[in-house]
Amino acid sequence: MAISAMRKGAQQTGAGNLPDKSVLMGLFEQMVLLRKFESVAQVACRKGETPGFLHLYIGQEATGVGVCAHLRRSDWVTSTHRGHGHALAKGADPKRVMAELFGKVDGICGGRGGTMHLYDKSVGLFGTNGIVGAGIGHAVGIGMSARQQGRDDIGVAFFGDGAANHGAFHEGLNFAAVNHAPAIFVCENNLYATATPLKSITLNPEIASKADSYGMPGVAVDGNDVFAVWMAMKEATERARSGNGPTLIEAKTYRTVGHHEGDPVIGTYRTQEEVDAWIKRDPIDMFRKRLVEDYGVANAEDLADIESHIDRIVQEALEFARNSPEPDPTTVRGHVYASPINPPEALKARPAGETKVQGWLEAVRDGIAEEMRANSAILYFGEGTGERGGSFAHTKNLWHEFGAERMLDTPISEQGFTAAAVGASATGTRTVSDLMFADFAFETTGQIFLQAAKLRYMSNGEMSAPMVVRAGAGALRSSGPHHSGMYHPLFAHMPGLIVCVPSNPADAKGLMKTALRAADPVIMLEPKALFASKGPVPVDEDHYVPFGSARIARSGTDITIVAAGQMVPRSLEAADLLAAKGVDVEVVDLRTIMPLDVNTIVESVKKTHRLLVVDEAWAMCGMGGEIAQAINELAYDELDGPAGRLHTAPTSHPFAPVLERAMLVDTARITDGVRSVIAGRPPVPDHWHTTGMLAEAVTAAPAPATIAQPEPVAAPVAVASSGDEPINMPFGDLTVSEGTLVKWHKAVGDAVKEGDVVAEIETDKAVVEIEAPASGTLTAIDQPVGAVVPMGGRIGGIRK
Amino acid sequence: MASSAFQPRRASSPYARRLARERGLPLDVLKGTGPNGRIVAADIAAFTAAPPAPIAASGPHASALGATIQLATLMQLLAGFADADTPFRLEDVALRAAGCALDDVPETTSLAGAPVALEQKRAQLVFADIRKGSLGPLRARRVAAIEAGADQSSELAALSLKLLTASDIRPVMMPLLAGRDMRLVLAVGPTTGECLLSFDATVVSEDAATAFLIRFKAYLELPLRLLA
Repeated sequence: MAISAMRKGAQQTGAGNLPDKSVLMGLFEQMVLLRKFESVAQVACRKGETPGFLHLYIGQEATGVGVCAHLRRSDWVTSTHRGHGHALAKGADPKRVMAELFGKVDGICGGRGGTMHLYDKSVGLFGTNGIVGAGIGHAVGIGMSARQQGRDDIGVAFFGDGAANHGAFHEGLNFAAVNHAPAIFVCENNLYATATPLKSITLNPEIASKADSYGMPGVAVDGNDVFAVWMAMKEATERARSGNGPTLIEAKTYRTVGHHEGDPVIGTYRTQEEVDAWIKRDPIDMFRKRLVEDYGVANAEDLADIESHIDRIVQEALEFARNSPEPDPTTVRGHVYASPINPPEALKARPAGETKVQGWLEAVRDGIAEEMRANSAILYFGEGTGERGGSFAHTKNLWHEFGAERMLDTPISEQGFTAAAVGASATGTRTVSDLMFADFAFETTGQIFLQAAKLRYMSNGEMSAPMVVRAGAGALRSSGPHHSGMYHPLFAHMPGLIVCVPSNPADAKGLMKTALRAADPVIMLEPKALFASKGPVPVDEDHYVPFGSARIARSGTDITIVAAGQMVPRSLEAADLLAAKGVDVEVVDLRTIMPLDVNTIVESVKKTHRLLVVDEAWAMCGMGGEIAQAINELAYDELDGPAGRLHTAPTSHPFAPVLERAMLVDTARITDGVRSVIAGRPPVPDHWHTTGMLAEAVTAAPAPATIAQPEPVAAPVAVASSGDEPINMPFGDLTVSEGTLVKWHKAVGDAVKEGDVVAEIETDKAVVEIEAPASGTLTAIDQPVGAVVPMGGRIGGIRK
Repeated sequence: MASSAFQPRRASSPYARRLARERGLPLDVLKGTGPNGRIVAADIAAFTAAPPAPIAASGPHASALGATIQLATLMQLLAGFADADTPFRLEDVALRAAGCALDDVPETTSLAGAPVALEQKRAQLVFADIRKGSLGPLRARRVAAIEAGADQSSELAALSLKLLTASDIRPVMMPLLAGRDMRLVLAVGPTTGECLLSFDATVVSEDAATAFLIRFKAYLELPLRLLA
């Protein structure tokens, strides 16, 4: 099945095979656009006009252009940190891409994303990406999403050779293959993962051959031959659109610039000879020659016209970026969540209606089924959640009703199917990513935290990932260290995530239904300890519980307990015991951790004047500290004593029942905690220290002596000196702050041409040549050899 | 907040402090029953629930009235006397005003014609029948008594009179001296005086004290009447 032979472009360009002239000229024009756009961006970066890093695609243009030539606007590409070329080839407006590189308000992400996070829904650009391999799984979900919606659009993932050794590659390709996903994987093998040669990190550097492992075709092409790429992509696209599944394309190519702007071109990892050899195979030069000499479809003048046309476009883009305003700092908080955060269904006030007693799992199953009936674009990804009905029987019967296409049994690859869930949910198909146990979320935290949570913000509010991450959470009868965790504070820490921890079947169902209509990613942590519980559940199918609305589980006057999940029933038991002793406890059930209904807590404390936070997660940086501080800030004058907190002991979850009981908060501990808060002496935790640390003599290590910094020669940035063109130290590498001037190649009075090497500087990383910014006469040498000059500082001047 | 250095800090819950603030209760009247003597909300409730302290059946009941007195005319007059080599002093005028004012209050009180004690540094000089004489003889009596080094603290007098040379100071609480039912303190500035009349309300009625103070103020503000 695998086609891993290297295909020569020449073999496929027989006269009968040639596409229309317009296609060929289009490929040339696109490559020129990518090259000229980045050349201009490179200069802007050196001048310090673009903030942050800049990873250039120069040398690799044939791959992006050859691939994207087959794509519609309604197809999507996912990209890499080296993604300007992909963005432009997919049709993003050069002006707005340039403005984004400048961090300006007219950028395609309003300055929120920048070079490595370029999103444009209008052209099907699913982000350049700062995380290696992260977009591979997105493309799988994008393709499955289109299929679920009855379209033949496809998802295409660009990634580098470095990503081919990442779990995201293995998980993503395997998940795609087994689902016959309409997706294409384009590995741009430029031989180096940053500076690490591919051959040194894998014993199988033929990346196309890895497709065999997943039972999909793999094809290697000359990535500098745009027509070869175009041909390979044509076939892969037809396969994907016609439902025959994914293809892996390995495009062997080379970047002829440094890893990022400011990084040396050669570095320690490659030779000048190697770079020169690849420059001779420059994709644009090769294609220009072929258009004129082999195909005879253009002459040199035609192509020069195209190039001047592109020059104008790029200059316009540069001017547009320079003139675009900075974003308004007061908007910094926008686009973290949808506004309003709740779907309209959850905000409708409904009278209490008829209920029936149901178990937790049955209630939530009903909720999911109701939503899947109402919306055919909901997919459910999980391990054993198909025909088997889930490890907890939590998806029982759903497979029978909705079929294998919607109730997908996934491989055990949380990263792969959660990435697919991100891609699908952002393109119109809601997804549930069922991780079985909350502990397993850490196998895919990158997808949850860095991709799903940030998507709305990075894309300036244009995109979002309305997916549900569902997991059984918390301690239950010796589930042990890897199946017991309750991690809601970690998720709530991340802006962009909604975090639910329900405490009863009605809320679990109502929150799940709301989550399946929400516009943001929802972390649904269902306490396993409550799966066997029963309770009244509204019969009405319009039962939606809003996010950010706590519930008074028990009304009282003497003390407020704030709890969530299985700590709610424990707190209610404690309240009953205390009521017999004349203590009237109010229990606030948070229901959602983020958004946190702080107003309900404040109102309760105004009534009781005492607070005890009871939480199943750990104390360090946790709920107790968060809520107690909120009361300090919002209701200090209401406290009649210090707030208290009870958390699970700071250990892993032990297996032995007696140890597990010693670790967990139980009813008796809550009762004691209430009494001590009322007595004005809350329980004092000890989670700040390792066991026994208090007893150890802790001698503070002396602060290191301040190292005297050599005074860099004062060189203010770009001092205008009688109107000459300044020669400045290059910006680019953010990790380098200064350099030493090691050589002047020109003397004052010498004539220089733009691009001439005039000086050399040495930084911690490399020797960098300084080119003349303009043609003219060198009129000033401001910094002598040996001077240490800050990056961006002026070293000399040229009169034009 | 230098004063806090001299008072032990009272531990108190934020809610208890809010309640105390709302009820106008100083924390130092409260007993703290929380940990380390912390005042908690229950302590405020306990305090406000206690019956008000009964008024003591015996002993002096210090009351006080204050007045601001315009002294510009008087000061001008005294300066005129000084130029004419008749050195009346403010003590003389105030003494005569106090004596006359006592005489003016209704006869139903025991104050009419009562003697007045002038407070010196370590002594009192008592003057009876002030209205009967004029300012000149009164001054002569005062000078003679001082020269004699007399101390008449144990002699009967209705009130003691003290002058403070202190502009912009308003006396607000001055204890009664032994055997005196009233005490009149006048803090003298260049153009105004701040006057405090303390009195034992079990002996002198508030009405009588008020009437006295009104008269005293009037005499000093229109001092020509004292020369008659």
